[in-house]
Amino acid sequence: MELEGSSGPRKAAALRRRLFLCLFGIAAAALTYYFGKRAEPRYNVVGARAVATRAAGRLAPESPDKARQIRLLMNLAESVTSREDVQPVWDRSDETVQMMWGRVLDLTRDSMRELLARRIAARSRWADVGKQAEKALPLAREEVKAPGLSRREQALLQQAEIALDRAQRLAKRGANAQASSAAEIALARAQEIHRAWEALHARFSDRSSLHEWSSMVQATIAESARIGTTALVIDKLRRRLDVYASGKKVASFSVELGSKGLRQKEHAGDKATPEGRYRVVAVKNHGQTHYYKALLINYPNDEDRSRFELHRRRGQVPKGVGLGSLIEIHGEGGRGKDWTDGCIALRNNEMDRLFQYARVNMLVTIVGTVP
Amino acid sequence: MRSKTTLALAVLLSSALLVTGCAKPPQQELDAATAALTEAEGAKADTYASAELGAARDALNAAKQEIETQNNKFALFRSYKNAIAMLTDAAAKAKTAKDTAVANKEKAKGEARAAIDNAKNLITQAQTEMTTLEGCKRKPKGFAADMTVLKGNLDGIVAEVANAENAFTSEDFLGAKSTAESLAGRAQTLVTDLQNAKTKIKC
Repeated sequence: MELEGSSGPRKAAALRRRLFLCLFGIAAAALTYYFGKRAEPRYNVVGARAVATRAAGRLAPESPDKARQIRLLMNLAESVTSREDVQPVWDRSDETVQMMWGRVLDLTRDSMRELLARRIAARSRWADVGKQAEKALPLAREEVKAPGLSRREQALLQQAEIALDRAQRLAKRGANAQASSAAEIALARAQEIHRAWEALHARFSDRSSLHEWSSMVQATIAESARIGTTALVIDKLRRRLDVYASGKKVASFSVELGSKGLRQKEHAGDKATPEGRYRVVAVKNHGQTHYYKALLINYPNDEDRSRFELHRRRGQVPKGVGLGSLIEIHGEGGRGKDWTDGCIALRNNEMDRLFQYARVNMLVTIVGTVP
Repeated sequence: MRSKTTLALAVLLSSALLVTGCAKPPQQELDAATAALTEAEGAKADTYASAELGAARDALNAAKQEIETQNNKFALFRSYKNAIAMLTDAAAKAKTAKDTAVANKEKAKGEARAAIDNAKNLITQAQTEMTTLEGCKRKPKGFAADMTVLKGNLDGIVAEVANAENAFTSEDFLGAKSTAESLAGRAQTLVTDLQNAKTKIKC
């Protein structure tokens, strides 16, 4: 009875032991899982990393400093993330990881905004400066042809063309900021040519010069009318020769001037066409001149001599250079540019027509322009 | 009996925790790959080997993602073998990017130098042609005006050579080459114009 009676408590003890072992096993499994399993990250490190890497790559060509900053911060965030990954669960701090990647993303966002703003500004600057340069260059090409502009202006034009070419190639590659800088150089060169052109043309809008030229032309026409003779009036700016018979215009021809013809002639070899009141001193027929037919004028006249003396005294004339001579109205013109050494050139057929009026002592008045 | 079972369970638990502690992220390999990428960037791979550098960056990102994936797994199931292989691959790709960048940079440097020298040679040729033309006995009217234009063009090209040289000095070899090629084209046109002029006036 005693034996039977003692099996009850033994069974209960075995049951308790099994229950304890079962609960211990469950607790051990739960603990192992708890310590082994990392808490699911609340922060998308993978996404942040991908965004920042892509942004750093895009920033590198235009903002290398920003790209470097992002990469440095990313490296820092990576090491914090790695460190946190291996921490025991009670020491892990997702907040630190989140904060680090948050900084990376903040810097990335700000840098990309800056880049975008800079790109928009560069695009708009290129649109503005590029257009201005493209517009200024054709004008500069025309202006550089003006008689009086020289090798310096031609060199400036060449530099402007090269700079605009560079700007257009850069813009095609999307480098709008660099393209704008190159276009600004092109624009500056074109503007320099324009300033030279304006300086050259300033005297054509000077009131006293205009008044003087107008008086010279009026006096010539009046003399032609009074004596009943033929006179020639040459407007350098308009490149036009008008024939007056007894004070009335009877013919008009296009002319070409010296290669620096818009300037007032100062001395021999300056390629400028003289201005003043002259007379024909020789009529050269075909065979007597290299340029088909020619009318030699009495350059230099007294006024030219006194002006030359004044300039020489002021040191404005190169040493050993004289006043020059042999200024003619001749043929072989029609080249579409100012090319002579200071003479006035007409087409041969127009020279034939002019020769109908030509005679020695005929009045020839050459002016800058007639208002 | 109870103490034996408890001991067995404790050993089991300790072993599990020991295994968990052993599977650590491959920090050494990660540092090596990151350093290799930094070296590639320092070698201007962004400019001279952008495709290779992009591949290296992608590989490193993929490796980091794999590490993250493993980190998020139950400790007993973590394995960084694949991540190590990916990091090794990323480091190799970064090295390729660096080597390619160094090679391409040298190549670009050589090409830029050759382009600048070619432009300078053509300019010298143009100057020689110009001197020959100026020494010509036959000088038709308008010759001086035409020469002024040609000389101005040559002056402009000569002035721009400095830009190509500056780009070369600042290691912008691609820009230097592009500028020099443009100048060479213009100088060649000028040489042709001068030679045509010589033929035309029978110099």
